[in-house]
Amino acid sequence: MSHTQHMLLVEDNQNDVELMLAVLEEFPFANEVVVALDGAEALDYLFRREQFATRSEDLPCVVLLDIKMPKVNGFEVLKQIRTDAQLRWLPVVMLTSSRAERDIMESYALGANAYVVKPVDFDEYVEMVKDIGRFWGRRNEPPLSTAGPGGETSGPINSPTVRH
Amino acid sequence: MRAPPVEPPRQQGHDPMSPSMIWAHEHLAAELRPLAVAIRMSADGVLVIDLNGTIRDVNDAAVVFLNRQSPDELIGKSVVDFLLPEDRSEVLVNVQKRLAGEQIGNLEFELGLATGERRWGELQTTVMNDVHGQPVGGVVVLRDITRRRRTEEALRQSQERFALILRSTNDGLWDHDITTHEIFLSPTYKKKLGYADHELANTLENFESRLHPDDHDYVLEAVREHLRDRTSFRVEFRLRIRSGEYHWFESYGQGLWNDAGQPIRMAGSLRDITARKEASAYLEQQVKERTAELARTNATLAAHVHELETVNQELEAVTDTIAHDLRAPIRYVHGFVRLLKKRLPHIDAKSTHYLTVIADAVKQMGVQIDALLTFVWTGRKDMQRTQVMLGQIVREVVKKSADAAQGRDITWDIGSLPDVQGDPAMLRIVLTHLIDNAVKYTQPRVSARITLGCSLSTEHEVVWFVRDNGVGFDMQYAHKIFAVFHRLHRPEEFAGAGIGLALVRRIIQRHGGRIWVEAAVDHGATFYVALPRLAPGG
Repeated sequence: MSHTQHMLLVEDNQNDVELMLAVLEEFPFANEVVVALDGAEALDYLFRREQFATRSEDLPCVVLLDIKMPKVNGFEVLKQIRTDAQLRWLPVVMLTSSRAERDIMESYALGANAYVVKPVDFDEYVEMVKDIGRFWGRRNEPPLSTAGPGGETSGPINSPTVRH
Repeated sequence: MRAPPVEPPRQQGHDPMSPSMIWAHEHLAAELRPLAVAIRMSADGVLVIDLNGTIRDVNDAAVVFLNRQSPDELIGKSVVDFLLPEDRSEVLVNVQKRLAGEQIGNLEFELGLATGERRWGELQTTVMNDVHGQPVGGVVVLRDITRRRRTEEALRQSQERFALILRSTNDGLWDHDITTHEIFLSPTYKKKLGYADHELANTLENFESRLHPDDHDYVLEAVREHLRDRTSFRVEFRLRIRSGEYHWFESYGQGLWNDAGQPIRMAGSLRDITARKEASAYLEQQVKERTAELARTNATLAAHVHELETVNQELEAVTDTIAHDLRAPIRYVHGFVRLLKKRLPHIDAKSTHYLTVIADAVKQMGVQIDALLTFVWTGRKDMQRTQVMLGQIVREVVKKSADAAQGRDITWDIGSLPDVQGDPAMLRIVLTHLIDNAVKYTQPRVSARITLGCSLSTEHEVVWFVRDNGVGFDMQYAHKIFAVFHRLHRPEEFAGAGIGLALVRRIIQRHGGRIWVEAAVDHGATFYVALPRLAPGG
């Protein structure tokens, strides 16, 4: 199991980012968590554009994608991921406040791999992060193209860092 | 005819002929020979008879007319033998009168033949005198008039039939002789226009001038077309009747063409269809009015639908906002309160209590919001309609509930529940709420008893119930427990969002069913659910 992989958290609300990172600080599952604060930034990161033009070619092991975001929303990001030859197999977990049936159905229709509702209760929230980390960060075998070269590290092991 | 054509009537006892007479006789015979030939060849039958009516000679036509093979069968016989018994005396009288020199007309009579056939003959008798002017016999000319008589008979019958039809039919009849421009309009035709037979002349003018100006051209064109193309002829038009009003008429017609293909005659019927036209015009008007009314109703309905759609869209936007934006802050409050608590390991009991209150309060708010969203979504989402096995769902729900209530003494008494038509997910919500409620409100009981079963079912609906021996409630508040956010107990007593029963009722209503409750304070509650055997619209 490779520890070189990183997660991409696409989340516009700073509070959510902070909660997530607080939990991951205690239970790290990836060597790095990259945070994009809206859909446009997420796409720039994934397609290595703008400020991310020079980043390494590694793809995240999973994208945790919020739906309701300014500029480009989660559905639009998902759509672009699924229509790109390089990114189409990238695991995407919708991570959202809403459990509206419409949002769930739309997500799966666009090719989401999972749909997770952020619980209000903090204990349940911690459990959720642990579930996601354990499964998508460790248990799941990502498509070959998303895994980085073996042994290489691009950040301190077990210590998540934040990028904006 | 045999020679000599006329044998001297010897039995009359006349003197033998003198030489001069013989000469005269021979001379005459020679002169008469061409005539004799003509008589023999004549198409009319010729019989020579004596004064007794005995046939003395016949020509071929007579043999044929009387349906005999040869003259021998006729000569020597009485002429009356060939007549019908009822005609005999008349013919005899006629012949005798002629022989007596009386000037009377020809006689027509019917003749029965040996074959059973009947023929008509015209009888003309000419007296034959001897040189002294004494009648010696007669020449009877028989003309076959069977064909003429039959034609006359057919014509008479045809005329009779036509007269009968004219009298019996309720349609007016018209007949136009195109070659002579003669017109016949039947009495009924004229009656339909308000006239007696003699009051209206049989002229084409009486048709054309009465045609409604708008109908004139196409009626005449229809006639021309029929006579040209021989298509079927049926037209509807208006004619001005005696009162000056126009009536609607319908006419069927048929032309007649000569061998050269030129039309020579056209006849047809006339029927007053004013009542029918008015009825259909009335119906058309009714349909028009109803259609207009329907269009107005539809427009109103469309406006209402549009209004509803707008309201729905707004509601959707509201629930969307609640789902996304209202849940998040609650999560932050709960999350950060918990994180804060962790960073303050040595705070006093009161501060800990405050933090707990804050966390519990927002958590409760989250529960409420989730329940409210469920209520709204369940009320709006499309319903499935399939066979739902209530018994199966009950077993699953009870197991879950019983597991959650481990440590408590609950006796489950579960009867058999029917299959119903409906949405399985929604009916699961109903059962979950009712069973969880029963578990919740029997909490204070040392020994709880929860009963599920079927009761009072009819052919139209099935009724089942969930009964508990819990705390119950006062029936005077029974109508309130199905209202959203309404509770009969303080939250401190029993947890919950206060939406469950409202949601249950909404689901049951969407299934076309009913829900009601029987309860008493401290004596438990029984929730009854009636579902139609066939779901509405299903």
